[in-house]
Amino acid sequence: MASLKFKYLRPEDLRKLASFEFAPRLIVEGYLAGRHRSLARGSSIEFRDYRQYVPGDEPRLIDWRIFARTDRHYLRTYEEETNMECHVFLDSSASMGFGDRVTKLEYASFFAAAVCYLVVRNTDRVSLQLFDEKIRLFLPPAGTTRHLHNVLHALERNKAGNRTSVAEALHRSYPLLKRKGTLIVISDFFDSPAAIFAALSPYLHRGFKVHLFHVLAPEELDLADRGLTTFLDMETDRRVVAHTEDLRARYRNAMQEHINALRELATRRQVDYAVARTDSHYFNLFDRLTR
Amino acid sequence: MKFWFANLVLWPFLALVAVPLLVHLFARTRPPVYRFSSVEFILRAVRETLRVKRPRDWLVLFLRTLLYSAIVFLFLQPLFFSRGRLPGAFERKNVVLIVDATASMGCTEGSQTRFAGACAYASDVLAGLTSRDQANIVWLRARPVAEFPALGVNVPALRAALRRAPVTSETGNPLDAWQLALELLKDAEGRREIHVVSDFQASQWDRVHIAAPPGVVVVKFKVGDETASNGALSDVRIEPARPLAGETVSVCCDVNNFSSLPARRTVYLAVEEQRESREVLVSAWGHAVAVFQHRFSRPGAVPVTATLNEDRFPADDARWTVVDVREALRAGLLAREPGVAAAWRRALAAVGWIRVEPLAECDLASAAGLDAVLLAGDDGAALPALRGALDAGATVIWYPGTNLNSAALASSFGHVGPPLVGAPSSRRPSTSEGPTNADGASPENGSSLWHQGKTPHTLRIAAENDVVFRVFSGGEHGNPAGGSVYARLDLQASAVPAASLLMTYDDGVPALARVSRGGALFLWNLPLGREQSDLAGRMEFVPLLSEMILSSRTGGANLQSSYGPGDRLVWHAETAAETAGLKLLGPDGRERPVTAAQAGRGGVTSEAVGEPGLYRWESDGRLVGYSAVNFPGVESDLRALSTKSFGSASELQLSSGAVVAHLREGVPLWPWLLAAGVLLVLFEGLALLWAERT
Repeated sequence: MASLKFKYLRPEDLRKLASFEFAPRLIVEGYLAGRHRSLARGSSIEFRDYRQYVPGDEPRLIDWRIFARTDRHYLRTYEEETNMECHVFLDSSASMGFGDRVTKLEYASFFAAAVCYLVVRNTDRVSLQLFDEKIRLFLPPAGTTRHLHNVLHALERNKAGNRTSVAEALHRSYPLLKRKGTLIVISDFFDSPAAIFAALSPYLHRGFKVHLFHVLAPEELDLADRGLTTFLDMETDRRVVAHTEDLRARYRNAMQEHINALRELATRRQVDYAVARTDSHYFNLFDRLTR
Repeated sequence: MKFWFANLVLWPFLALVAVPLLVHLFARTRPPVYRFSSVEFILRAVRETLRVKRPRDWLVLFLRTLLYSAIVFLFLQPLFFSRGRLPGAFERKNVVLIVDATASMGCTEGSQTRFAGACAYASDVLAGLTSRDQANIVWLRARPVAEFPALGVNVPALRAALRRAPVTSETGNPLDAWQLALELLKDAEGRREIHVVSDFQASQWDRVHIAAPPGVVVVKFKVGDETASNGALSDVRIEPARPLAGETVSVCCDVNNFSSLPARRTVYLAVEEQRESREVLVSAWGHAVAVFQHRFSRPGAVPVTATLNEDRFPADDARWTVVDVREALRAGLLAREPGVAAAWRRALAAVGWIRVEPLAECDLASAAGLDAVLLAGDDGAALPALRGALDAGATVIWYPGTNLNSAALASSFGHVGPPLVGAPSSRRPSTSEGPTNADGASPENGSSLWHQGKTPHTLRIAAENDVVFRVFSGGEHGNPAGGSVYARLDLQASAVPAASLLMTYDDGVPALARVSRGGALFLWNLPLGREQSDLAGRMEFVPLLSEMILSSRTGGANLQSSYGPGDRLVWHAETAAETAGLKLLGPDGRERPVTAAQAGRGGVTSEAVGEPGLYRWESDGRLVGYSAVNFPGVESDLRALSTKSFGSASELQLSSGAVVAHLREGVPLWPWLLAAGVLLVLFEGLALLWAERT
């Protein structure tokens, strides 16, 4: 794999990623025994809990020592280690094409590629979904190198598309995911925070570990002094003529309010949320994934 | 109220005023396009800022438009004319400057005279003319004259004339100057202006109203202080005006104070070899009289010089007069009644200073030169012929004749109503005494008024304080009312209502009455015949008669003509030889040209004299007389018309040099525009600061 040239997974990145390990401490549902804990009780050696015997349970699981002390039948349950599924949702709307040195989409693609690489390297399964207002591409979860190559090729072919609708994309993606796992949404979240979290609710209810990476260019956080400017919306082609001096402060406040709203909802719903500035290295974001 | 622009060529730049508006309209459509991820938050911010930004934008647009306007107009150099019609850009101007050169313009205020200020203004006006414009100067003097015969383009010559022109001591004739200016402008084409440059002395201009005809712009330029104070010697009078040698006369010097504060002034009088002074306190805006007593030692023309201690306007602080001191009075006697005439002649012969001359009826018309005319027995026919003499101040003593013309009496003494008749008792023939006609004339001719009785009538003085009886007040000359009268003209007092009664008979019949008609006309109802009265033989008769003549001199009649600056002096020589060698010497001793001789009258006329003073007429080195030229009194009051009283509303009304300059040349508005620009910049900054904080 090292000999292949991928735009978003360069050899120097691979060397740096060698020291990283994507090991989210979450309980996953997996088909294979692996490094990740699973709520599926199995034959592993790690004790989880006791529970009363009900008819149908395997008698071999009864803890006879407890029966001897209490004269009741209890079963010992063990946590079964399994492989992890990681679902990467990458926003590919037109707004993600914004950025001076590097576009938000490129930045997000670098990050997504690295995540996918780390997941596959850990013998876990990773899926990739590219969406804008609808799902443009979905690569089902797999843990093979071939799959990784497909993912990387898909990222390279990916272009900024149409309008953003994160909530819509999440709604449509939900049926595609068979197992719960880690959901990584990389987007600029130009959508209503309430709608986004409403769309995330099924995932959270099902037990997904959700990471939201809010990709923003520095120019979006704080308008540069451009004087009188015609702002052309990259998604809607809407034009707004304004003087940056006049609205700089208000724009900054509005953007900050949007971020705060997302952060507040994320905290309330125990969702990891991080702002990913395109002027900072995406490696910094891995810290969020190891929590 | 109009505007004019000094830099008209910059007019196209006025289009720059539209720059802010154009920038505002078109700059919005061409800002650089910036592809942005989402304008959602920008729109949200724009919506919030629009509430403040829109009014701010309009305010800033407005302020910047004003600022550009101010800057553009600043370079256009606008001039503001509050009044008056502006000349067209290529309109020819015809300007006549009426420059006041009268005596009051010589008043020094500050560092220069009013006249210098007027000339400076006039020169400025001329300097502002172009080579196409025409101008002329009319000097406001006693006889206004124009510098050029017509309007001319030789402005440098006019300015040179302004530099050379002296102020005169003359009074002015504004109306003549105005008419002359209008005459000069009559046929002029283009804009016509008359500039009246004067101190607008209230005493001279108060009643002068100059109405500008249509198409003529009048600019009045006032120089001098409205409240300038001055003291002046306004008159020197001799009382009586033609005294006799040896007679004590009063020299009255009128001192005027044209200021709001009382002034103490010293009057100096120089006459013959004597010099005296009097100090007078003159109230504010009032006048006082300094009286000197003097007795002229010899007959002839005697100059009298009165001066004041000097003040800021010394031209009117000296005055001269020439007194005709006479050796004797001349009295003419018309002797129709021999008795009375003889008595009068005898009495006057006893007085050394009255020379009696017999008069014939044909001489009456030429009796104006006489001091007194005595009509003995005139029936009234001579009175109309003496009208001229009376007007000239002569004294006429009329003893009515027996054929008294009642109409003459009525016209002379103011009788109105029924014809003159005596008292009812008088008209009835007295049974005891019977009416007697003095000369036998029939009563129908008026002789019925004469009564001769055997019982004497006594006299009484009706006006004891009258000047006629002043000489008798001491008693050394007796009682003029003494004596007995047997015959008289039987008049009632009501028959002479216009006369003041000096003496009456005991029954009220007027005995001596006087009417003032220029001179004095006495009705002498005092028969002097031996059978009629004993008055002629009494000691009081001579002083009474001589005092009547002496005291009745009005004498207004100073034969020396009074001249003012600008007048031509006239001298009537007695002989042709004297006329031939006659020359006039001015106060400075220099000879003045004698321009014309009045043929057939032996008169010599000088050219118009300028400065006040005492002028000497000499013939072959011999002094033959004086002529006094005095400062015109109307020029002494230096107060000017108030600005409010200037002209009609259609005229330009000015008060000071700066205002005049502004009215003629316009008020430059560039300083105001510059200040406005600075203020606009300040306002814009404040508006932006306010918007930013909001």
